[in-house]
Amino acid sequence: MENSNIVKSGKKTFTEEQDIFRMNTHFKRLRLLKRIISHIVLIVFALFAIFPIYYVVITSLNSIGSLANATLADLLPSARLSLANYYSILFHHPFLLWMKNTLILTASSTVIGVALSISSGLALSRFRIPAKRALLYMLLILSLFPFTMMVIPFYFMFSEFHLLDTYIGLIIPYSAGAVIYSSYLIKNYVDNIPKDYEEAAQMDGLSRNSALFRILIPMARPVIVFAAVIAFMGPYTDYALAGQFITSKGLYTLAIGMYYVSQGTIVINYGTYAAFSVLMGIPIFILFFVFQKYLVSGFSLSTYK
Amino acid sequence: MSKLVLQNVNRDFGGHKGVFDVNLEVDDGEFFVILGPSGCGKTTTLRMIAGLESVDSGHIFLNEREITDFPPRLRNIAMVFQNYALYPFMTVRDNIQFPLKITKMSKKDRDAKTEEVAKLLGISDLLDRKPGEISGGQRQRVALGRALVREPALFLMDEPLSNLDAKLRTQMRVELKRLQKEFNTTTVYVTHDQVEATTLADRACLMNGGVVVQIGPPLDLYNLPENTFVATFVGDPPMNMLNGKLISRNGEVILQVSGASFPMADIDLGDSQEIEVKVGFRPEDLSLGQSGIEARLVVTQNIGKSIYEYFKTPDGLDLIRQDVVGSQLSLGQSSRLVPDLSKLMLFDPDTGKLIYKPGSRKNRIGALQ
Repeated sequence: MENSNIVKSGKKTFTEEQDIFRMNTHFKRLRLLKRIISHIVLIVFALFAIFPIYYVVITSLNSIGSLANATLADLLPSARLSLANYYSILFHHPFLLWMKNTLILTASSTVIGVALSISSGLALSRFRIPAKRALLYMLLILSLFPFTMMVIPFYFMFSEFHLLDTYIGLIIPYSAGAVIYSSYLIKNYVDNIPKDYEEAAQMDGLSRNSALFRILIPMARPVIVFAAVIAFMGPYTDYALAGQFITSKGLYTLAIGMYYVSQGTIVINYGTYAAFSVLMGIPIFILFFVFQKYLVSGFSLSTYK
Repeated sequence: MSKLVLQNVNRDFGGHKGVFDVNLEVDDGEFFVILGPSGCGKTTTLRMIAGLESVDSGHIFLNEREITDFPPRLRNIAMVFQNYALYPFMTVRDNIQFPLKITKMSKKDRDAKTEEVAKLLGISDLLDRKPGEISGGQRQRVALGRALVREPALFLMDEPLSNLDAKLRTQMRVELKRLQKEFNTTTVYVTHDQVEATTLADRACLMNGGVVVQIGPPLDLYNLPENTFVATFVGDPPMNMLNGKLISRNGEVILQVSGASFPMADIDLGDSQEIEVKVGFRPEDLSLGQSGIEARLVVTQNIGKSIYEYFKTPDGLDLIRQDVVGSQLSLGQSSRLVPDLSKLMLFDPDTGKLIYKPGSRKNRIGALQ
């Protein structure tokens, strides 16, 4: 038996005497099988990911009073669908005021946080700073602490400064939180941009600092957008800090509003809760949709070569 | 008038890395090439001229004005980078006129100048594209355009052709030379490629280990190398370098190298009987003969216009011979190789300095005693 004429594939062994077409068909089937299996795996995981969103949407359209009354049949679209939950949120509660409050808070803390992150990220990447490594480790360690841990110290601090129940009292911790994560992110991205670009700009007539700002910021746009979206998401959905600091109804954010609205007389009103979630998710959805292009490259941290 | 002078310029990075005591004078309108292997300090020297690297000690003058500590933007120097460093978020047009925009030139003048430069470089139809959408050769032209548009006192180029493929590189070499002569702008060009140095330079400077080894017209570097480093660095394939001996016998001086002897008529050894030397001869100055250095043909490379033959001597030394006709030997065949004695060079084995070349004033053998 000549070894060179044997082809092994899994448990099957082909010799040259056997039909060459049969061998090829075998590999063709194998490839198809692999594709089917990977698709099944992907579909199962996609279902796990999509189901909660579907559940929230379908619950928001349901008029059942509480979870106790819910049946599996309620998971399917039925004749009982109604927009009552949405109507109640939009017209019986100051939803738009809460939205305005939230947007003021998130927009200003995003702008402040990202602006500070850009300067610190550029500095950490390009300048010689004493104890730079220690600083970087500190940023990394700080970003590991859960935000809720800070609620109590922040509360004491801001009560001293009389900043509780104000916009500023939330904007400061929100933007500080953004700086920790984003400056590290921006530094890493800028590290990968060759120095030639800002040096070329210096030769072209810019000072070192304006070369950094006028050339590197546009080049780091993907990561800046990414950092901004992350910085937006935190305060937008925050309840831990806002729920403790804000007491006046006129300053309620969406997250507080959601809690307030879904409190029924006896049980939590899940229909309203779900409808509120959907309404709250819409701006996030739009945000991701608009900046999709940047987010993809921000995630992959790919830069110019 | 833009004359560049470097006076005792030093930049020490520690660990014998850096640039040490560099003195250069580049005349107005001259195409000056700094040549050297990687890590020899050529790029650091260029960056110090640009102002991107600070100078530890020494002085740099441009137009008889000291610019040693000037920030780059005030030096009136344009630079072309190896990777071109075109701003990826701007169109080609905006890239080219970026330096003009900084000087607050009016948009009308800027556009006119950009069109003019683009026409000269043959990139007029690319002006509205982004750098990511054009080819490497086109990017190179845009980078040149950004430098040309300012009409600077000095051009600096850091290996501008090394990212191009071979054919385009040859083409751009010709074009660079033409543009430089047309604009007559003083140019300092850094490269590790000796072909670029010999084809482009009015004068070239060879650096090694942070030190200037030799300055002169490129042909001088080829014909009259200061030492073994220059001799083996300039020239492709490189110069053959063997250990040899000069022996005085009955009033005649004989060169012994790898088992062969050659009479050296015009050498006077004075009182000494024997001197160790390094013997250098170029591949094109080596011919096949009856008596000479014995060697076996190992590899041949035919590059069309000529053929390179790689030999090994019985003691394992490598020799390269270049011939314009096809190989007369078959692989593995032994032969005798005879260097052209009128083009042979002898170097001091300790210092590496050139001590003898027939017909040149560099004959320093007498001074060795």
